[in-house]
Amino acid sequence: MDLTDIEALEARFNGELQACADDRALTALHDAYLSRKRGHIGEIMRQLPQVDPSVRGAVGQRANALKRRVEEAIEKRRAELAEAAQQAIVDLVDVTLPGIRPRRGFIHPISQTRREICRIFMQMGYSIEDGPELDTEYYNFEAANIPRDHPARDAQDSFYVTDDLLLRTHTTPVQIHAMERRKPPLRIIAPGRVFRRDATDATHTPMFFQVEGLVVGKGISFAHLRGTLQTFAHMMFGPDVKLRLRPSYFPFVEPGAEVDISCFLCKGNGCRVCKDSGWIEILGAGMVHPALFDRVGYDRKEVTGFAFGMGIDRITLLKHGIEDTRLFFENDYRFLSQFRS
Amino acid sequence: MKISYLWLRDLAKLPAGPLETAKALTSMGHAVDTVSKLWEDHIFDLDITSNRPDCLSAIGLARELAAYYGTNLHTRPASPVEEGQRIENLTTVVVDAPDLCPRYCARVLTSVKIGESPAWLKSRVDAHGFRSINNVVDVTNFVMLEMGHPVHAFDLDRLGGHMIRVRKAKAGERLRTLDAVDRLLDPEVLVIADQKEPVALAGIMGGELSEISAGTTRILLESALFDPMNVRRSSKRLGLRTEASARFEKGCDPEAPPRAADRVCHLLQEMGCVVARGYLDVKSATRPPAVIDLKVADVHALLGVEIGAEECARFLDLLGFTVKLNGAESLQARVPTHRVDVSSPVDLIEEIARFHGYDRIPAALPPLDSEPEPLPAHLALEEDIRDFLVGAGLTEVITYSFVQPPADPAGMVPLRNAISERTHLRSSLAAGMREAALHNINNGHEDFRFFELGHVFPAGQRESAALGILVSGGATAEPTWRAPADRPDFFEVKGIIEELFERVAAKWVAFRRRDGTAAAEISAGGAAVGWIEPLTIDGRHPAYLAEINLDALALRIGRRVDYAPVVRYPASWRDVSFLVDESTEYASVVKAVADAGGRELGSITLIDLYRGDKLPGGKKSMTLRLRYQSATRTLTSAEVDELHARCVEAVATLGSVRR
Ligand SMILES: [Zn+2]
Repeated sequence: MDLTDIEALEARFNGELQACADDRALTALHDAYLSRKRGHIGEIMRQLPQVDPSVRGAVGQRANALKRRVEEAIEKRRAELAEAAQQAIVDLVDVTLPGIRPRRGFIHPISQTRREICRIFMQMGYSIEDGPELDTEYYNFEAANIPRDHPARDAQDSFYVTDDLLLRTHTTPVQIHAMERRKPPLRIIAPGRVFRRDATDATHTPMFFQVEGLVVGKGISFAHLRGTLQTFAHMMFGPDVKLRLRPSYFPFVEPGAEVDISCFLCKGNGCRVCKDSGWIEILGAGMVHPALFDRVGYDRKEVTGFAFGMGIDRITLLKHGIEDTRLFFENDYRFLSQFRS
Repeated sequence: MKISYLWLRDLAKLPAGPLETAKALTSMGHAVDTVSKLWEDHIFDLDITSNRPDCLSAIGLARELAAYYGTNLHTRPASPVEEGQRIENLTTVVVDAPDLCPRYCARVLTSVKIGESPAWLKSRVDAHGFRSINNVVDVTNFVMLEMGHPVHAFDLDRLGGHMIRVRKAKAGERLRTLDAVDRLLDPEVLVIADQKEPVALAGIMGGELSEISAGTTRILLESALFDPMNVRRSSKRLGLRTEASARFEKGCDPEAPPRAADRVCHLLQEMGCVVARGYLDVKSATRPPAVIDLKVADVHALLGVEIGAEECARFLDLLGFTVKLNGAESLQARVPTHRVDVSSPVDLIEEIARFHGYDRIPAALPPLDSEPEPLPAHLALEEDIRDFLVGAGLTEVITYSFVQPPADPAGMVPLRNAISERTHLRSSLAAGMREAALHNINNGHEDFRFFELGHVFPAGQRESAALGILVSGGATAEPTWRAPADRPDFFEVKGIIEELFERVAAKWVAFRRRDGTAAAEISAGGAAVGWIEPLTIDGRHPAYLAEINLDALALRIGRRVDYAPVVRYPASWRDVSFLVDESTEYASVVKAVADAGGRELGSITLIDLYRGDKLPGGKKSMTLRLRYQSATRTLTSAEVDELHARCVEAVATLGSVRR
């Protein structure tokens, strides 16, 4: 036994190390060289007493150095193999596989529009009111200045449950309740479901949604109504939208107005939606009729007010280019899932 | 209503073409929906508001246009030359119900030759949607279109006793009207009768018996006023709306009857008829035209724009009001008789605004003098629920508030006048949601999770707000490359509701099995607030339906966030596995363990539930993971062991613990 034997062993180890391709082979190699009882280096150590004393010290040192190098080399190799294995796994990742998505839910387009309208008016300091959908003749009609046998009832043919109870035809009764409960000044909007006995077609359903607004106080004028609706139209439809007010008739307001906005689809040049007129009718409005103030106990000499009302369904139709209002209540997932909010 | 542009041009000497005229009408509140060309003319289709019956006529609209353009209204001749016998010798008129017929004018024409109308008349009535019938009928229709006042012609010789009696119908009386319908009359209907029987429905339609026919030679012309309310009620009850009733029910000019009769006579005279001398005019005291005082300051205050007294007076004068200025502060206006809609100062302000032009009123924002209020709690709750559910993958639906009732509609409120098979108000959101589900399934889409927020109307109870949930799809919407699509599952629906209730801070939520079913009743704060039910849609598709009464829930939610200090001391976990009878509910196990563990038992989690052949019959195996933690110190291992031993002991009272 001499130094050349140790050098030969090291050369053999280097060759065998290169041949190790996995963890198990490395463990076997480790045992073959470093095991106390059976390992090659252990064997050298055991034979050391028989070595010529003049080289015994040098051989012992070389054997110990070899043991360290073998240990380090095996560890290094082990780390290399682990890294390679990790890389092999990483190389399997296909980031173009579809992601596992959470289930999606959608807010009904009418609710989306309602929220948008409410948010705009809340920014303008309005409070939100609601009330029963089943209300009395008095609140739906009489207090709104539409007595029995009034021709204006034609436009609001209603569903009755008893002689006195009906499904509200507009959200005006909410305004009446609010005025009864609160003193002026007030500034409210009332969104909600309303019902009319209309035959169902592409533009009519017996149930639809409205938002009505009411502002009452000292010195409230038609100019304020105009300013308010203009602000709303700009926020809802864009800053370039123009407003047009035409005289019209609703028993609960006077002067009454029909309000058009310039068509935001064709910029007023004429298209199918605005029937080539460049204008789209979006709401009805006017100054609160003094008779309503008399009913709720407001002093008509002290306060004036304006009111307006619009169809949420109609605005939603316009906003999304929907052609048939019946789609809103058919609840087809293929329809509802188009309205990402 | 249809009206010819050329007719308006002739009457108002219009300086403008058809399209510009249509714009002018629209800007005055008479919306022109369409303009269609007819030969060299244009026909406007207008939407006349119900307060302006005076504009249901050529003269009415021409009057508005003449005011708009400052031209003069062309008047039409209505001065027939009377000859022969006096009317009193030919007929009599008795009005038994003056409250329902405040005025009845009659004229008699003789030497009538019924025949075709002249071409101008035919084309005019035709252009306005009336079928030409004969010269007499066409003239009465023409005058109604021209002046807005309905006039009716009777064959005088077919009136029993040659007389007219305006009275209420008698019970059991019948009348065959011009539309060939035999009508049974009730005593609320006002009729025109002869000596013995009804010959016309007052203000609505004539009868066949006294109809103008080829052999008619003498005519009694009726030009009357009828009570708008009675006409409206009768026409509704009879289901008979006519051009005449549409005008009478909105109110007619009280001075129109003699003028309209004269105009008809004038035209028929041109066609060879002889107009008998005199006319009958039976009238009860009519109200004098309203005189209204208007303060100019009120105009400014209501419109928010300064319009001087002179300007106000000028507008009103153009519209036919007789105006007296009282300096710069006020004016007095006498209302022309055709303006049945004007009776108060605010009506005058509207007229002034209309003529000033709505678009010339400036825009301003109202002063913010009222304090805004927070969103009412129940609406805020709905918004929170909507957001949570959408985030949890549910899609909002909106279904009709009225539904097709089940075979036994007990507990539901019926509509008195439904228009479809949806005859009852919904007492629950279930029916509508099922309908939405069925629609989707029928269209090949079976995987959906829906919710609805809406009111329900259970019979005998107050209308209340409800939340409905219908789950048809599983946790994953579609099969993925990692997992197949799930089936809907009760515990997922329950999980959604548990999570929702926790978010809205509902108090003491509990689920109880509905006896003998796989459904659950949900309570909060000890009160019933809803349920979960399995169901099958269309006999094949399993789904779960849940409904929550939001009014009940809203009463049982606590303060939303109550801060508790974060526990800084470490927690220890121990598991316990045990066998219990199938009939032992998890809730009872939890209760036993919670009672035993006390304050230091931080949480109880069911981590395994096993049923199967390996277990003794009628048993199930559960494994709980218990977390022990103190808010004030670190628990020692021995303390945890002791706590856990107490919990295990509690479990042992319900089943056999596996050690
Ligand atoms: Zn357009």
